[in-house]
Amino acid sequence: MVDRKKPAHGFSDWAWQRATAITMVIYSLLLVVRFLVDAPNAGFDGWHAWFAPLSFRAITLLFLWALIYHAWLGVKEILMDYVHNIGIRAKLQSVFGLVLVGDAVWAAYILWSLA
Amino acid sequence: MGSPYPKAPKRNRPKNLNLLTIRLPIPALVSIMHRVSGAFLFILLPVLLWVLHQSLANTASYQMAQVVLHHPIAKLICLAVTWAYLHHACAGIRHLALDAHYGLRLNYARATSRAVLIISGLLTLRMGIWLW
Repeated sequence: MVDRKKPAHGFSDWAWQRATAITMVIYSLLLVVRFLVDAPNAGFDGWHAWFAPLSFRAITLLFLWALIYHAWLGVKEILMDYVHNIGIRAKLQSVFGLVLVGDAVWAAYILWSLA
Repeated sequence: MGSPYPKAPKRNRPKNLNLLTIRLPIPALVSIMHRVSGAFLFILLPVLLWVLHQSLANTASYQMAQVVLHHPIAKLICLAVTWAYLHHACAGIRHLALDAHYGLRLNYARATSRAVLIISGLLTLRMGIWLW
């Protein structure tokens, strides 16, 4: 639901959707470039070592969080278009929101449990 | 008292809501595919995180993930995810250009829509060749 007392709400969703999108495009290009110039060695050790640098894990987590927040904005938009019963929509938003929070925590755990 | 407005004339217009017979203009096709691909990626996200997790956790889970990913169905899902991601990204970049008032004229809007389909299609094909 849009809170009319906060006129910035719509703009900030709009702006965040684009900011996260640009973050993802930049990361995707960097990822392709890294694959081309510095491909991981075959096998688990090579793959694991590829994720070892802190800088790579940091931008990967930034990408995943940007993706998850972008997904949240998209999910809200789709629900607003197709689910007109406000009670049901609120419930679906909570469920999908919890799933995405879980995804965000999981992403951090995956990348920071590597050490 | 009835309605103060004159009654709308009765019309027997044909209704054509069969989704299979509606031909969308190409920018509309790109637009709905943008939405569908986004929803698809949202649904697949936990699966992708699971694969990343297994691939990085330890040697045994890495090998298990490798076996799973080599299955033909898994490869098809990878290809679908690739296509969804590339289409969503290309259509999204087109959106950013439209935000900046580039390509608003109808002929440009059509041309860039076609470009989105072709570029994401070709890149997906490239990924498919690499996967098989």
